[in-house]
Amino acid sequence: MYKMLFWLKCFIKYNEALASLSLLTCVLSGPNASIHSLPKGAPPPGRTYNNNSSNTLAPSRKKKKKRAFVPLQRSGGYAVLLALYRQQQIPGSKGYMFKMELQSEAQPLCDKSFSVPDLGSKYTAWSSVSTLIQKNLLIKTHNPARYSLTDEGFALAERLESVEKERRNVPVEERRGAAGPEDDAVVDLTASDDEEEEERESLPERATGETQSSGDAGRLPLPGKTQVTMTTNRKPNRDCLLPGTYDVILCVDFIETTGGSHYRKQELVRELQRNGVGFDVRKLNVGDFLWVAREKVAPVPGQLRAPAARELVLDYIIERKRMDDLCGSIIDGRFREQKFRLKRCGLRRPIYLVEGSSSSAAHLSLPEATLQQAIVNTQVLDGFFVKRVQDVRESAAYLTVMTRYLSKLYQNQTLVCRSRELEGDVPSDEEERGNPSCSLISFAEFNHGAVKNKCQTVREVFARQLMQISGLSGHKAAAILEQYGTPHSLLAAYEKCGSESEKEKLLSCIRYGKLKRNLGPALSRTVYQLYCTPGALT
Amino acid sequence: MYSDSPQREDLRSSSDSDEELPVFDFLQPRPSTDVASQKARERQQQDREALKQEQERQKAERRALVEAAKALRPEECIRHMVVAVDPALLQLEGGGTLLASVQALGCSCAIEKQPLPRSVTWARQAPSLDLKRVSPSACVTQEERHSGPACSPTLTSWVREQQRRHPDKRLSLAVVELESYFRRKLGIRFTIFTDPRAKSHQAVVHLQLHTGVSVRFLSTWKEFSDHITMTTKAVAEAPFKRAREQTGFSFYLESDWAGGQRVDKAGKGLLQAWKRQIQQFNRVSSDVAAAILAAYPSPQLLKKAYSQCRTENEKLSLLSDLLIRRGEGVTSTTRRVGPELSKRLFLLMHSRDPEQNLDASL
Repeated sequence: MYKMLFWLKCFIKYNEALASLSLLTCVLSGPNASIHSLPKGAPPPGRTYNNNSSNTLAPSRKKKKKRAFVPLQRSGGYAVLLALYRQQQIPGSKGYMFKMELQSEAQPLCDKSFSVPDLGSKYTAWSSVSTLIQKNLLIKTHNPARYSLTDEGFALAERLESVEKERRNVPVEERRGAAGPEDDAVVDLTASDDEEEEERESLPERATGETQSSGDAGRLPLPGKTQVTMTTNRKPNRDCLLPGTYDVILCVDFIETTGGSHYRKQELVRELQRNGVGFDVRKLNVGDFLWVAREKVAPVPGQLRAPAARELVLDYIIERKRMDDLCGSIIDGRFREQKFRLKRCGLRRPIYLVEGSSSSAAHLSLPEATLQQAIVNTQVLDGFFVKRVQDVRESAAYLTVMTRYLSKLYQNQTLVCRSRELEGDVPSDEEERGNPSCSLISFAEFNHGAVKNKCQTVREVFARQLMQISGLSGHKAAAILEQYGTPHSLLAAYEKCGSESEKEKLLSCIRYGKLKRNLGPALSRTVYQLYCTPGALT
Repeated sequence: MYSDSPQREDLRSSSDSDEELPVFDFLQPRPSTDVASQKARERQQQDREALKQEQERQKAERRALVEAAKALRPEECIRHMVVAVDPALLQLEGGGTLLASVQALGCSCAIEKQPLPRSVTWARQAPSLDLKRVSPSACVTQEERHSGPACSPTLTSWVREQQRRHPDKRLSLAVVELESYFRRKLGIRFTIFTDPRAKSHQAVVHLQLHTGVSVRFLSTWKEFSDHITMTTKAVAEAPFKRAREQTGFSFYLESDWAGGQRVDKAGKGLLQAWKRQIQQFNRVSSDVAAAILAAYPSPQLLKKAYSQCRTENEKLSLLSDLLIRRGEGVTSTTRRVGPELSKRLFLLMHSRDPEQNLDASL
């Protein structure tokens, strides 16, 4: 009798939910303006030009316009939408999340791992994010990337949340039975996407996977974490590694071991092996050598692959340069670019390891004095620690001694995981020089942040484009961008001008740099010519 | 009754001087107004002078700023450097070479007792401000002090102590003629069997990890002088180069693009600049840019093409079917620009949000 009542209640509730889902075509206006809030000074957004359902990029894909897109429960898309929605419910929340943050908040809501792909696949739950963006449920802005819900996404997430609440109110046995009627209304987001390989069955919650070569295991959430602890600030139970629970391992960029002068590269590895140094070869997006504190994990009986070990990266990062490399990189400009990237990678103690003697510096395209000056500049100007060695054997010796000393230094230290995306970069404390830094970034976040060709924003590309004109330096471009943040904005301003002469002078009074100098009429004119010449340029 | 104009003129002409009385005072004696207007004139005068002084001050300040900036430029900066050398250092073998090299640079050299023995420090003299600002660098030579691994705690603790005493300075060590020192102290036989440099590894790494101070080993005094002159140059140019890098952008313009495209007054060169602009997107090669350029040889022509599209879809895929020519004759291949790049270019030209991301998939 009571069972019957429960079934009936269930059925009614599910039909209500179904009815509310069919209202999807009526989009609620976004309640929170903060989702789309831009930094001050930026023009208000017009339409965000993401793919809405009326666009096809891949002509072969069939559009299901009438069908509302609803992600499967506990799928990647589902978890991401819910995680963002819940963040928004907290008063004062910032309205967006960074990638690592979002993965970490969404993971408990998802049956598939965000960081570790399943066996035989290269996709993780994160792959569904691009689908969400295409369906205009999610937008990605800024660099480093921020993810936030669109109005449609918010509305959908709201419904998902209410369904989720209903689901939890109903006891487990009834849930499984009542799953029938609404199946055709719920469309697996991933099924319509050619690339997705996600299956419908639920997968074990904590996916085990390869950690050695991808090294992506840095930020798995602690088991048993509930959604209640979600805040935009530091979590109460931060990831930390207690003394004795981790090893200090040297990481060698795989390019240092292959290609080019094959013999010499192998020699470095051989020397390290001979010295008994524990090292790991992996693809580093920046730098040639660094050290990670890797959690000691015991293999689980019955499983081939060891469980994922957390990894935090120590503050030291080494860029190795042989004299001929140095010469080549100065000539083709990589020298400064590499240093720029090293300075921004989040590790606070960069080291320049220069390998070579006077004889190796002779007979190169640049005079030795130039090379030596470049090295001194790196120390004085860029603030890198410079270590000079004679040859590859001495490089190996240096790496060996460093590894041993670092292991000793960190013997009794408790390490805490710090997130760059959430907390920003903390400048290296001078006092701290003697004391090893214990607030470290996860390897996953570090390597992800150091990717070379990162996503570009409109602002970044526009700035680079302006700098293609000789005489238009970074400071000048920055000043122009303060007035006209996008090409559209600049073109619109030109349109508004009353005369050609006005257009010519549009930028001449823009002030740039510390001294607040004028951009000047000449440069203003050149930009005008570029953007306003009606016919072909010459 | 009197006519207006003569009195008015008189009034006007008497506004600057206090001696002339208004013409019509016999008509209406107004002593209070006279005094009041006199005071008002005085105040006006004072205000004007104060304003003038303020403007002069601002001009002078700006001049000083410009001169200070000029003094930091690479061509100029070295002249304003002062290299201070400890007398004890000069008494050593390489003293003369050192002095000569520094003077050859064109900067001033001061011989004065340094807070650290046998050290060199750098200071910058700003031209108009007459201020000596000490650069945070000092280079110490250690010849005798360094004596092998047993010394590592001592070396580190000594350096630490120096750092504590001079918190505003960045220290670096230079060790000169270490090998000959070892040879003298320990005999030739020793150096055959043990590499003195290997022994010093431990001490140096220990020093690095605990103090962040680097050590440079130099075999000759000439090398030491060269090191000092190079450091002088680097310290001199540091502020200018650092300021140059602070653009607030998170990207670095690679050398391929640094320098920009020269454009003459007539606008010749802009086509190449436009091509380079197209190549600022990730993963756009010269061939691809050339294809887009050929179809739309100016931003305005591209804009016009977009406005002629009827749907947004058309705009998004405007460039997708442009053919890219690569190679010549038999081996030439044809590819299309593709929808992805077409979309990125569309977003760039139409977005009103500077923070809009162009690559949605990563």
